[in-house]
Amino acid sequence: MNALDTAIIAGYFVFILGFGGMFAKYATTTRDFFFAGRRFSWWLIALSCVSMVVGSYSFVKYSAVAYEYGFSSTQTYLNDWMLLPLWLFGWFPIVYYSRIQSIPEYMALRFGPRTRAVMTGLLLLYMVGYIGINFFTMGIAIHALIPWSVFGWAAVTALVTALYVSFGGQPSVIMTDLAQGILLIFAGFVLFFLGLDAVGGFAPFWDALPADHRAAFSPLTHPPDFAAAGIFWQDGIANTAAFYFLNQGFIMRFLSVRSEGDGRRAVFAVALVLMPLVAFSVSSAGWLAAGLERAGLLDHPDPRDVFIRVTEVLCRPGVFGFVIAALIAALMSSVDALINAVSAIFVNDVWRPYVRPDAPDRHHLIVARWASLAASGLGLALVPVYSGFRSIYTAHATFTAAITPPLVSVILLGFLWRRFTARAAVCTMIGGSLAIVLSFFVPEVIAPFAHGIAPGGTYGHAYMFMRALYGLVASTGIGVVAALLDRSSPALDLRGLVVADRLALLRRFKGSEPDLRPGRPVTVAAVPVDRPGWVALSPADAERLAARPGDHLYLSDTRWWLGGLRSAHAVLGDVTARPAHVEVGRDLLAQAGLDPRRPVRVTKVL
Amino acid sequence: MTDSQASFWYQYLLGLAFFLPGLYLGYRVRAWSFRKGERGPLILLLLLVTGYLAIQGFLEFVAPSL
Repeated sequence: MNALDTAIIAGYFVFILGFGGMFAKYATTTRDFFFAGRRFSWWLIALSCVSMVVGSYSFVKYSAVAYEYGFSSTQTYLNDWMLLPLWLFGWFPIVYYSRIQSIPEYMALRFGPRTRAVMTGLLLLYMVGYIGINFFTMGIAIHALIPWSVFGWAAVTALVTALYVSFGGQPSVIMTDLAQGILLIFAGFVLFFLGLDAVGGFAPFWDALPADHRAAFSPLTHPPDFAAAGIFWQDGIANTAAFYFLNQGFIMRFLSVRSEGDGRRAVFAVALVLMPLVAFSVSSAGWLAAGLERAGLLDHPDPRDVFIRVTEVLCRPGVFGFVIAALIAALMSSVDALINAVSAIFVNDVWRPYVRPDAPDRHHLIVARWASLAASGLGLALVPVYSGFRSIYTAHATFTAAITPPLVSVILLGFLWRRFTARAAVCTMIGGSLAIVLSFFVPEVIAPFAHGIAPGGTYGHAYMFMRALYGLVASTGIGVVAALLDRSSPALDLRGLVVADRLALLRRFKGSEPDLRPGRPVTVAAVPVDRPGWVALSPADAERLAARPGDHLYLSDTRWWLGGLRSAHAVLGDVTARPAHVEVGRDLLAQAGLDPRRPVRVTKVL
Repeated sequence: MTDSQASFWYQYLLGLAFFLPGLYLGYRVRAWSFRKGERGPLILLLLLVTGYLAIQGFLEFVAPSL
């Protein structure tokens, strides 16, 4: 690595730290710190989601798969569509309108405090371990390209990430994800075009690909570690459900969006546009390898090293530093979401309800910052543990495999089936986990679900991809039987917690009848007033908006590219303002970061 | 039919078994309808599936023989 590469990587760290730090002023309450005040536009959230999905290991892993199997490496990124309607119409409105702040909080409302405690413990254990895995894999990936200490690389990235997450919270996470998402998608395309140039154009690249590498899918039942049936159940169903329905970081992204409509646009942008781009970006090095081999630029590489080898062959000074920066960006944009999510669960499900329930919000904000630092520190402390004791690394993966299907079953049954009780939820979590643990020792129990796919290993390594189907069937089966046998009726008020008429959810959220008359946004001049939280419009502007006093409004800066950074939600107080003016409380202006000298765009929400 | 073409049909036929109930759920809870102005989610979801069908269908049935 030469001085230019070093300067690019150092510059990247300084840029991200400075850029992330710029948004600390927008995190003045815990609501801002965790959910960015529900202010962001769909395109920021979409890019943030994609940045979170792609980790540094994605480039290494999918390049290896692309080298071995060709275009079918993309199938794991293109199978979210199956569960999307269920998320869009079932889960997302519940999460958005029930005002929950975490998955355990939903568990508390739906099933009671005991289920919340179990869920909190499991999620914290999983997420802190996963932060450590991210730092560990990051250290290994960068170490392979730039030999230095694995722990050293992990520590540098941990320090930078922890600093901007602790000070800036969710606003900083989402804004840095924007830069990081663009960088990591762009890097894959840069590699691809450099590769095409090196092999002599598209035709030689295409000719070098074996015919079966041009297919979109792998064979249905072989090989055991990449059979399409296994990928369908493990990745397309179990992992997609875990990500969309259970991942606290993902949920927090969608609680940061300014409206339900923007949430829908964001998820469509993710699934329709960004995921195909990402699938291409992370796989391109693997596809190029065959062409580079034929051109005599690459000796038959080990698939695990293919990303690194292709990068070394293609990248001249400067571009190499750029690709490393993209790898670091992929790591940081995944781990910042995890750190913020750990902090949210710790504050909302441990500290606030059990330790200091009466403390002011300012206190909880300080705890949130410390919790972010502590989560990063714990994750970093796990790096030497993982590197010294691979069995612990494996144990975490095993633990994740064991808890994911039961938790997915509990969430799905919980919001889809009113009859599903707290006892049934506990039975599902315990029984489902035990069924999966059993499959580690007696893998033959998976055979009836395996579609004829060979075990491909022994004990925990047998039927690795088909274990998800077995786990989902076992957990859901236990849950359904337990709920049918349980004679106790759900004692809790389930309104707004199980799938319901959208109008009922909106009514519950607003506290009054939602105003669904279509209106048009207005752009007006701001008039600061000394009434906390106050907003008033002129009768003409209110009519154009189709809004009446008591309706929820969204006030934002007129510059679209701010993505809602300077904005706030408010309730229309009266229609007594002058035409083309909006009276806004000074506190609201400050909270939104709006400049009273600039025009304000007002939109009706409900 | 090749092995990977079998995977294509497996994914799309079984995938629809998850997709269509979700779509119906949205209709039942009035998140979308066939009325003008309320068809947006339906149109986008259908665009999503047909887009993937087009990309993956091309790669599966056309690209290997090019």
